[in-house]
Formats: sequence, structure tokens, C-alpha cells
Amino acid sequence: MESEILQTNTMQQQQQDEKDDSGIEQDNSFIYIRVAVEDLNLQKVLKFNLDDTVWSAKQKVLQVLVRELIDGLNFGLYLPPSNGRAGKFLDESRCLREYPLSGSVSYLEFKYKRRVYKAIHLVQKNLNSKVSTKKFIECVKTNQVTKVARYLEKGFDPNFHISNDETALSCACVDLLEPRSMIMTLVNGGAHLDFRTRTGGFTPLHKSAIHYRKESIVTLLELGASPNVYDEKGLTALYHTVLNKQSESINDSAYCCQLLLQDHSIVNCRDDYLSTELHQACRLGLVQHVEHLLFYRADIDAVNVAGNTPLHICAAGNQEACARVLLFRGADTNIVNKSNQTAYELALVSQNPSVASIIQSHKPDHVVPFREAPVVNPKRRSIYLEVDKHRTRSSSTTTPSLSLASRSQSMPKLNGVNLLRRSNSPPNEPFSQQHPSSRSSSPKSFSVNSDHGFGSECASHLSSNSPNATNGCYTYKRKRLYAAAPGRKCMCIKSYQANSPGELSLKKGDIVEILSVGEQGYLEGRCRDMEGWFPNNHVQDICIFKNNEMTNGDTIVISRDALSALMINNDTCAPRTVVLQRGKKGFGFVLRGSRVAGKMFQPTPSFPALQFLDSIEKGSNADKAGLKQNDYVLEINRINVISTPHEDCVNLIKRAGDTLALKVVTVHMPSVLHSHQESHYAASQSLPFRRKVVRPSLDRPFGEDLDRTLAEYEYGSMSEAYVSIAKQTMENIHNGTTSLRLKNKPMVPERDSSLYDCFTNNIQHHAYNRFRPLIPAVSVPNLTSMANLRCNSNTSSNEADEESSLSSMNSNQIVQQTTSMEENGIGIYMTPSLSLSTTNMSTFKTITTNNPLPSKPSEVKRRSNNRKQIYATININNKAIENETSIAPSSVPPPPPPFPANFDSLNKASSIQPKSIKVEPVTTTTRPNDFQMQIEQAKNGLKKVNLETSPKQTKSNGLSKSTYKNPSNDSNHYHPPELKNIIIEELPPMNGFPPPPSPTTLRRSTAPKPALDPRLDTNFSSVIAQRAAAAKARRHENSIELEFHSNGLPPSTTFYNHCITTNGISSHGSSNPQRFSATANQLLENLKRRGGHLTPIDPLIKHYN
Amino acid sequence: MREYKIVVLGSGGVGKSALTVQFVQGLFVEKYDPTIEDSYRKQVEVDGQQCMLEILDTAGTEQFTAMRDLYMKNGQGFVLVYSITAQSTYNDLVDLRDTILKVKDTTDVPMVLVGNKCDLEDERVVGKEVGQTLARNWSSTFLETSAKQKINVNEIFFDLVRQINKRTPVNKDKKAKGKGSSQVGNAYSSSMDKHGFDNLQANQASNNSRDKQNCCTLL
Repeated sequence: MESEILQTNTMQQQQQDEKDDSGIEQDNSFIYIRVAVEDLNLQKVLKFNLDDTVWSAKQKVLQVLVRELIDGLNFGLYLPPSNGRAGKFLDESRCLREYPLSGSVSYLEFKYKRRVYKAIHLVQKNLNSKVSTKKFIECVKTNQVTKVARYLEKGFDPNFHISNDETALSCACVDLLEPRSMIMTLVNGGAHLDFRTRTGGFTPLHKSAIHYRKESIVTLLELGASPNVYDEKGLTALYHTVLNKQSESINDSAYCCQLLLQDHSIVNCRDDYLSTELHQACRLGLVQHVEHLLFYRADIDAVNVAGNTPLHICAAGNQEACARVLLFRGADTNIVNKSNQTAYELALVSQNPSVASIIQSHKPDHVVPFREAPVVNPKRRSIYLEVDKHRTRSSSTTTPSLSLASRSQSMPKLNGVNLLRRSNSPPNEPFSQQHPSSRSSSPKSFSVNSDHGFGSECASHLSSNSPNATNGCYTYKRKRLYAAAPGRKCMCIKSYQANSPGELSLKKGDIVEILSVGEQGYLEGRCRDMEGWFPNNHVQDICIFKNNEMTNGDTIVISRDALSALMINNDTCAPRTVVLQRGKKGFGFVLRGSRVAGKMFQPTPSFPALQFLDSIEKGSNADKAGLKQNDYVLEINRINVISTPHEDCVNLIKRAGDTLALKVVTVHMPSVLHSHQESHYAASQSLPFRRKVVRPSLDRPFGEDLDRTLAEYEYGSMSEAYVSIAKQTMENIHNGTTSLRLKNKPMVPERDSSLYDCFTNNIQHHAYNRFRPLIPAVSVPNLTSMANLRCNSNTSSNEADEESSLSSMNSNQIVQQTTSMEENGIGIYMTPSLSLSTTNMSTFKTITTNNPLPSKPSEVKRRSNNRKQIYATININNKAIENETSIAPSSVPPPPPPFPANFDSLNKASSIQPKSIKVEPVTTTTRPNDFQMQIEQAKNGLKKVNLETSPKQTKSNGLSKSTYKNPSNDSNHYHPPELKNIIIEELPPMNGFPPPPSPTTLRRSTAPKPALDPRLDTNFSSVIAQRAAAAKARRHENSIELEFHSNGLPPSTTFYNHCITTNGISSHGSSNPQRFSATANQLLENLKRRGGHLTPIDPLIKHYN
Repeated sequence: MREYKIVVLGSGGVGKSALTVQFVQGLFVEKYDPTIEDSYRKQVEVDGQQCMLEILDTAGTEQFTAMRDLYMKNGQGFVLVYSITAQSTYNDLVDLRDTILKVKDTTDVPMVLVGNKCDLEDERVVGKEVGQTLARNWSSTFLETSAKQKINVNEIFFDLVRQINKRTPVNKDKKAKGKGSSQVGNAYSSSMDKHGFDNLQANQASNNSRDKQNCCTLL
């Protein structure tokens, strides 16, 4: 304080600056504050805008006064004690205006956040010795509230760092299962709610949001923590809830997201690339988050640095469900990004025809705006009030609303914060047209009035919000927040038994139509003509496509986790059979158990067998199959091993070769695994794999890839995202080649391997490019940066890979012929879909075929047609959509697929051309043309600012020589009456950007004569189980044959990429697993891009013919 | 010197800060600035005894439930303020008192009911007798005050100090506190799942208010 005052002409300069950025020059909106930095013996008078937040004021102080501060974010503006009032740190999310900084020049200190002692006798003590700190941490981590309170009572300062990314409070928030009392104790003992970690500058609220700790978030918010504090990168806690990478916590994070939104979290926070929460949610396909964000008035047409709106992100990332929600909520489809693409065009360029079709078939009158007002915590001062004034222009129907200014006069407590939607506009009018300007300027159209009824109701909810109260007398009404976007469907992955009236019981595999979204993470849905509420963690969003009306072939996209949840019955301890393929490093489990034969062994429910699985390697086949640590092994390849000694079991497994059927049972044990420990382990594990990815060897056994790629997939990191794209496209080529040969022959399931390859980092990527310098990089000028990246990465695909895939394909060809004979009824195809983008997928497809021999020309034609449709529906993100036309006779024109006219016609056009059995080369040459044209069109389209769909359609129709299709089915697209095909999609991988590999499509289509397939009527999960059982049975029958024919390659690796579990459901022998690895189109596309001419293709293909 | 923790509660805009600042600093703040939360200290002499008052001026416009629980637990005496010019502020106090009693888990909490802004007789909405009735029901003190004209301001706090002294006399302080704290702790374990915590709060309060040398006997 006695330091020299450096108040100089810098002050005037500062003033000048202020004028420049604000543009407003009002005397009463500025304040001069003398800021003292005690540590540096420094004082300076700075001019602040009264509407600046304390956070921005702090940033300014950091910039102007003290740049080189260590842990600068934990410094804060401190209002020193004066005249009997205790000193306090200013809350960073508040405006300077909210603090009584009166006088000509106010005085604030800038100091490190430590406990502010109110009781005098505590101040002098310094109790934070090393020893006591250590003990204190111990107490916090073991949740010893009493001891912690005693420390704090003595004056211990809880504001310290345990490690670089942990403070005492954040540790309590994240590590404790029931953190509430500990958090309250710490805060009561002077812990600052915004004491940040050293790395990232995360507050405890950020940390809780990152780890989706609902109770911590509730507690912190109830303690007055602001949801609008920023971390080092300027992101809010809300932003972190959207960056969900773990599929199992999606529902948790959605709930956290809602909690924060409800507590006035500001939406439209932007990261370095100006991406908002909505962009991120769309990128990751988080439907519930998207709905919540939109409900709380997130800017639906926010534009990021590349000019992309969330809809663009959906288009590029193939997030159909999110795209659908955006469109229903009024996203503007005409916005072009910096590459002059509309979302529709981007979807085309990114080869996501399903999204493209959704966008194209969207009509403005489909828009269903939110009718409900967002519910916010009425007991927190609304951040929306300020924006409000110019916004409530209309509301003739609303009660007089209060603005911030008027509130402050003499108003009593704000009883109700009622957020009204612009009530003057007709509800059926598209959102985007209602207030075109409102979005860009400030999307929040909240108004506040003192309406008691509404406010007090939600007040009571919020006050009783504490989780502790839920188990006792507190019964919450599941207050409806808003109606869900129409047609949103979920699949139940965990049975739910209704506990109270108004709830809906669900069975696994049920498909529920979501009617509305409620508080407490509940959803209201309709299932089997019943309506009711259920918790959202029992369901998973799916996307349903109506493939074609004639055959009722619909496609359901669900995440792979949902599938495994469906297949593995977690609710009971029933034994299950798992079919495993040997991976590169084995099956991926460690067997453990008694070495002595247990003659006397009596199996009990808790100890059912002698041998058990000791550990499961993360990412291995065993892991993918859902095997868990401590599962007991009952049977190995149908041999009962309950009391078999260890050696014998090991021998059995060794003898089993590459395929292993394990019957295991999970014994429930209370085990708490912490996910980040696992991932840490995993990261180290995947290193060797990564190295190998760089140069895929020509003679590498095909099967090895799976392990590697699965591992990659699991542990790829965010920074690796872009590079993974490159690798994936390479795989696509590779897959494309395979499918080129195989497309009309059902294949025995075989490991597809390279599907999941990822590049590990940019360096490698570049190295790789250098490695093949001869491949010219083709750039497509109109693509977005992401698309460009993709293009470039295409060029880096290597021939070795292609060749290996070709050879593998070759080997499989023979196998196919053996199996194709019996291919009647349902078959399962696995089609890794090609995408230029970030994801790989494989497809399970079950079709009913009526033609016994696929080699008939008509059959071939039909199939090639299918192929193309498949191609047309490639997804970037984990989704593969396949259209199967299951009409048998060739005389009948294929039923129209669900895609827009241009796709269709293109497909048709190319499908006509093949005339003979040796169709492949022909198709390959024709197909690229088609695709090329399509791409050209897309490019042309990009040049137009506005997309007009009709010209486009005609153009594409013109290209195709003959068009059978009837386009009428497009309109009905969103409401498929019946669900027949199921696509399992992989959720985005844990580490973010690299979109997940191995989406699988499981598809069931109705045959014209349903009598052929007895299973059509059974429900979904049992179908899966049956199919799995059938596949397993088949595998056993065929395994020897396959090996015989497979040219030294591992014959069959995975059916489903992950495993099949049966739960005592008897297998029907009629189904056939068939697998396509990929379509040829991708390859041709890539070749075309490389050289622009197709000459090299033919020899290549012939060689393998 | 004994410390008294006093919490001033009431709806937004009733004059909590005005009363507090008037008492602590002897000023009347004309300007309305919604309080976030401020803590004041003042040393006064009540009945010939020196007291250190620690007054927590709470936010009326925003209420964070957990935070409220904390200060209610820590507080020893409560000033419940309404404005005689606004009926709703009066109505809100009923809930507020219920919350305090719930948190304290006793019906006998030192409390003063205050009808502020009695200088604005023209705008009066809540009658004096209405306030008196309520105070009688609560068996607490009732005062009509004016922070602006400094009417009855000091009396609020003096009365509260006396109430606290009466309930927990200094000489029996130790015993009374110990008993009280165990009750609180037990009650909470059933109602709010917070064993130990409340105990400690109570202990902390008692530790603060008595000589340091004695504390080992209880623990």
C-alpha cells in the first residue's frame, strides 16, 4: 500500500483503449479503480467499464500490470475490509457494477486467493505446513468430514493445490461419491469456489462438469458457484459437459448440462475455433444435449471459424439424429460456410447422403419451435435480465416484464423468473423466419416477470433439488421441460420397472418415441401405446430411416454400446456364450484358476467354476465381446470346464485355434473401476500399435489389424483426430477393393481389420505422405478445411494396403462360393462403409433373399444395385446405412430407397450397366463416372450461394439414363411406421475428434413373403441373440472348411467385430453370416482423385480376377 | 470478549444492508445495490459487557440453498426483515423462519422480527399489529425500524445479543453448547445425512465463543 503509485499517462492510454473497444462514451458506465498488487509493490489506476465482468477486469489487470505472474488465474480482485465490513474477493462472473465500488477512485487489491479469515484469532496462524497439508488431503480424500472441519476450524487454508490439476475442493468434487457434505465443509472453511487448478485453470465446477459429477455440480451451484466462470481457454463448465467422449456417461453429462443451463449458464460460449456448445454436441452426436441447448436458446445457426453452422457439423460428421433435431428446431439450411457450401452440399461432399436427404427433404413447415419457456433457477440473479430490455418489444400477452434496471428499485425478491418465448409469433411459423436477426445478435429472449405461480413452483423444485432429499420424503414431480423434437426415438438398453404412477415400464430392446423431456433426467415417452416417464439412462437415442415403403425396410441407427447392452444381459447373472476371434495378440484375456482338478468342487452361485478371467485387455476382442474381469468360465467350445484344472483349460483354448466359444457367467461383485486409470493404462498400451500403423505391411495377416485398430480406436487422442482421417480413408480404399470383388457374393465373416486403423499423430501422417511423394495431392477447392484434409489424406493411401486387401479378398472369394449356396433366408453382411471422413464402419446386414443363387445375372444386378445404395449412404460418423432391396424377381424394379432423388437415380443408373456375372470390372469403371459426376455436381452447387434443390435434382436425373424411382417416399422420411433395419453405430471414441471406427449395421428387412422368415415377428433383442447363436453355430460348422480355403489368411475373424452373445436362445440354422468389407466405389473414387484417370484400375482388378 | 454471529435475512430490497450499514458505520446508503453477501464486525457494549458482533448481511435477491444452510447453521441470532411497504416481503418471512428452525432443529432460536422503512408511513401496506401478532406467535421480539432515520436500529442488535445471552449464558456456555450440539448432530443424521458436520458446526461455534483452554475437556 505504501508503494509508489505508477499512475501515469498509461491511464490516459487506457482510457483511449476503452473508448476504442466499447464505442460507448458514457460517464456513468466507467469507473476508475486503483488496483494494488501487494506482492509486487505496485499500484495503478485503471479504468473499467462497469458492465465488465470481474473476470475481464482481472484479465486486464493481468495484462496491464503483471504479466509474469505464476498461477495468475488464481489471483483475484480483493475488496479490502473497510469500516467494519469484511474483505472479500470479487466473484468473477459478476459485473463490477454489482459491487459497491463507489467514490471517485475505488480501491481494490489484486492478490492471490487465500482464505479470507473473518474471525480475528485465526488470521495470524499459518497452519499450512507440509505435514498438515498432507494429512488434510488424506482426510479430504477419505471423506472424513469431521477431521477436515477441525482443521479448518483451526484456521487451515483449504485453498491449495494437491497437484497441478487438483485442488482440495476439486478433489472433493471429483473423487468422492457423496461429496456434498465435504464440499460444504470446505467452503464453510474458506475454500474459494473459484480456486483453480494450475493446469487448465479449471474451477471445481469445471472439474465436476468434466467428470459429470451431478451431485457436486448441484452442491456447488447451491453454494452460489457461478456456472459462468471460464477456464484458461475461456470455456464454461457447460462447454465441458458437451465434450463428452464416453458413451456410458452421456446421460449423466446431459443431466449436468441441464443443471447448468437451468442455473443460468450462458450458452454460446466459443472455443478457439469459435465453435459453440452446439457445434460440439453436433460433432459428437449428443442428441439430448442438442435439445437442451436449443431449449435454452443456444444459437442454432452459430457460425464457427470455418463458417460452419451446427447443421454443417452434422452434415460433415454424419449425425443424422442431431441434424434432424436442428432442422425441427428451425435451423437455417441456406447458410453457406466459408467454402460456400450449404449444409446439404457439405453432406454430399462428405458423402453423407443420409444427412443430405434429411436436409433436402426438410421443409420449413416441419419446424416445431419450443412452446415451453425455459425453466431457470429463480433464486439466482438472472444473467438474462440485461439482455432483456430490447427484446420484450412484443409481449402484449405477457405481464409487464421487469428489466434489470427496474428490478433494482424496490422490488422484493424475484419470485418468479418466467422466461417467455416470443409469444407474439405464430407457433407454426419456422423459427428461423420469426426472428432472423435475433439469433445473430443475442439469442436469449428471456424475460422476467413476477408471476408467482410459475416461479414458486419451480423454486420449490430447485430448493428441494439436493440429491439427499430424493431418497426420503421428497418426491419430485417430473416437471416437463419441453416437448421433444418430433420423431425422436430411443431404444431401451436396460429394462426399467415403473416405480410410481405415471412411469413407463420398458423392456430391453423396446423402441420408445420420446414425447417430452423432463427434469431430473427423465424423459416421457410412448411405447406400445403406453405413455409415461422413465429415466434417460435406460435408453439410447437411435435414428430411424425409412428405407423403402414397399418392403418396410427401415434402418435403425444405434450406438454399439447400446447393442452390446442389448445383447449382454446385465440384469441377470445368466451364463452367456461369447464367440471370440483370436486377435494379433491373442484373445485378450488372462485365464486364471485352480491347477488341480476339482473333483470335490461344488459350484455355487458366487463361485460357479474353477477358472475365471483374471484380466481383460482393453480393446481386445475379449473386451469387445463384453467379457469382464472375474467372469467365470463354464464351457470352452462346448466342453464343460467347471471343474477342469487350469492346464487343461489352457490347452483347450490353445487347441481351439482362432475361434473360441466361451460360456461365461458374471458374478456380481462390487467393483469400482475408475475410468481414467484405465485409459491411462490403455494409452501406454496402444503405443506399439501406433507405430505399426504407419506402414502397413503387405503381407501382414489381415486379422492382426483388428486388434491394433481397436486399440487405436479406443485410445486415439484428440490431437490425432485429423490424422486418423487419413488412415481411415486409406482403409476405405482397401475395403473398397475388397468389396469390389465380393459384392454380390456373400462372404464368410472375416476379419476386416484395417477398418479401424487410425493414424496416431500428425508427424506420422506427414512422414507417410513423404513416403509416397508420387501421389499427387488433389485438392478440391470448394471443400471446407476438413474436407480438404480428407482429400489430402486420400492421396496418402498406400497401395500396399490395397493390395493386401485385394489378396485377402481373393482368398475369400472361394470361401464365398461355398457359403453362397446355402444363402437363403437371412444373412448377415458386414459392410465396412467407406467414408472419406473420420469414421469407419462396418455393417451388419441381415437380409432375406429369395434367390437361392446369387450368381444369376438378375441377382447380380440386384446386388450391385444394393451395393451402390450402400455406397450412397456412407456415413462419416460411425454409421452405415444400407439399403437393401429385397425384392427378388429381377423384373420388378428395385423399390425406391429412402434417399433423395438424385442419389437414387445415380444408383439406378449405375446399377443397370452390369450385364454379366463378371460384373465387377464393368461396374468399377462406370461407377466412378457416376460418382465423379455427383461430386462435380456438388462442386458446382457450391458455387451457388443458395442451394436450390430442384435444379439439382433435375441435373442428377439427367445424368442417369433411366430412372425408376418414384420420389414420393421422401416426404415421409421422418416417421417410419415400422422399424426393420438396425444400424449399430459406434459412438465417438473417448478421445474426441477421431470419430469412431467400427460402426456396424445390423439390418433386417422384410421379405415379400414373410413366411420365409419365422423370426420377423420376434422382438429385436431376441433376433439379435438368435442371429448370434446362429452365426456361432455356423461358424463351428464351417470353420474347417474355411481354413482350408483361405489361402493362408486367417479364415474368419469376427462376425460382428465384436462378439456374439447368446442367452440361452436356441439358434436357428437358417441364417447365414455374410460379410462385405466395403464397396469399390471408395477405391475408385480415390483413384480418380489421385490421377483423374482410371486406367490403372483395370489391370489391378484383372490381376485379382 | 464474546463473539456473536448474527445473520440478517429477508427478501430483496427490504433494507437489510441499510440497517446493517447504519448500525455498523452509522451511515444511510441511499443507493440500492443488491448485496451479494457481506460480513461486518462491530464491537459494542451491551449491558456493560463488551461484545463482538459478526453480522452477515445476506443477499435477498438470490438464494443459494446450500449457502443458506451454511450461514443458518453458523448463525446464533437472526434478524428477519420485511418492508412495511410490501406485503410479499412479509409473507416470505414465514418460510424463512421455517427454514431456520429446520436447520437449527429447535423451536427456540434468537430472532428479531423487523418491519423496516417505518419512515414511509404513507406507503405502509403491512400494519404494525400484523407484525406484532406474528412476532407473538413466534415468541420473538418485534421492532419497526427506519434505517434512514436511524429508528430502532441499534435496538435490533442489542435485543438479539440479550436473547443470545439469555439462552446461552456465558457461565453455562460450555455445558449448554455441548448439549445443544449433540442434539443437533443426532437430528441431522436422520434428516439430512450429514453426520458430524453439524456437530462440528456447533463445536466450532462454541469454540469460538469460549476460552481456548477449555476445549480439550469436551473433546
